[in-house]
Amino acid sequence: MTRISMTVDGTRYEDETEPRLLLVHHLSDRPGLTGTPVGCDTGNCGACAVELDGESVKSCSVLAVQTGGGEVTTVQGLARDGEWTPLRTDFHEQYALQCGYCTPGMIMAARDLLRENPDPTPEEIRHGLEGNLCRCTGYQNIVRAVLAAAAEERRRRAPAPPPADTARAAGQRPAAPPDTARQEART
Amino acid sequence: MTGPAATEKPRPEAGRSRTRKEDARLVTGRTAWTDNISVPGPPHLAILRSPMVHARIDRVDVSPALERPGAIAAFTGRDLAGEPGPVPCVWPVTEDIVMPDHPAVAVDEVRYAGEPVAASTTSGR
Repeated sequence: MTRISMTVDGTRYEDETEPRLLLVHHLSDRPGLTGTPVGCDTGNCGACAVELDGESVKSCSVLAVQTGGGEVTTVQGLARDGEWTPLRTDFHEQYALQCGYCTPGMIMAARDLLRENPDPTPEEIRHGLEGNLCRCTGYQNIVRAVLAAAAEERRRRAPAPPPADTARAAGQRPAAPPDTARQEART
Repeated sequence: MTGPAATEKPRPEAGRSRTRKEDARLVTGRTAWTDNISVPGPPHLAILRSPMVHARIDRVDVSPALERPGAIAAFTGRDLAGEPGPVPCVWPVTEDIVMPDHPAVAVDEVRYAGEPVAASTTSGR
């Protein structure tokens, strides 16, 4: 057994694990985070995607011991206080899920994609999500959902227009987005 | 001449989009897949794994496991070698792919650290 520590969805865990244990199995067996499904166990399908230190990884291709004290974010850790993120809302509104098994991985991979490219074309979305398979084959609507979420994220991040003429006259900088908008944009 | 279509009001449901009711638990990772369901008092399976990277198996004695209270079964790779046999590769990606036998539990030889060598199942832990 090997001693490991990691922060998962904001909670610090210390544990002992077998060196052979995959991160995805560790997440469901120990902290009980069953929201990250195992689709193929071979790195093909991407359903188990989570973030490790801010980058999307397939958690069936990472050993629990490889987290090395790092920070893991699963689909269950995305919205605090039950608030939906733009990706969640748009997956719902654009009918981007049917059985929903690939959805956690799609959302985590799409987050990574939008972080690198906040304004992707449909082609760039298809390329960015090629490591994630949807066996219901709902790709059209998944691309639509990511496009819509990207637009919403950009809208939230855009600086608010200066209030009235007085701001411009006084040479003030445009107001920064309120704290809430910044927090939402991260999720 | 007026047919019924001209006076009939459209049905309120026809042609309207309906958002799905099941999405909330699916997009937040809070659904109960069959793998997540736990029932009270299920039988447990314990797997004995190889500490060796590559070794020959001379002998595995599972009889002590069968004497434990609640024991249901205990078996070695040799017990499973005939039926059900090796785990099939369901996705041969090329025609010339090499597919060595992959037993679920090692038979006569282990080929990686952590390979199952024996398994036992009991009611309760």
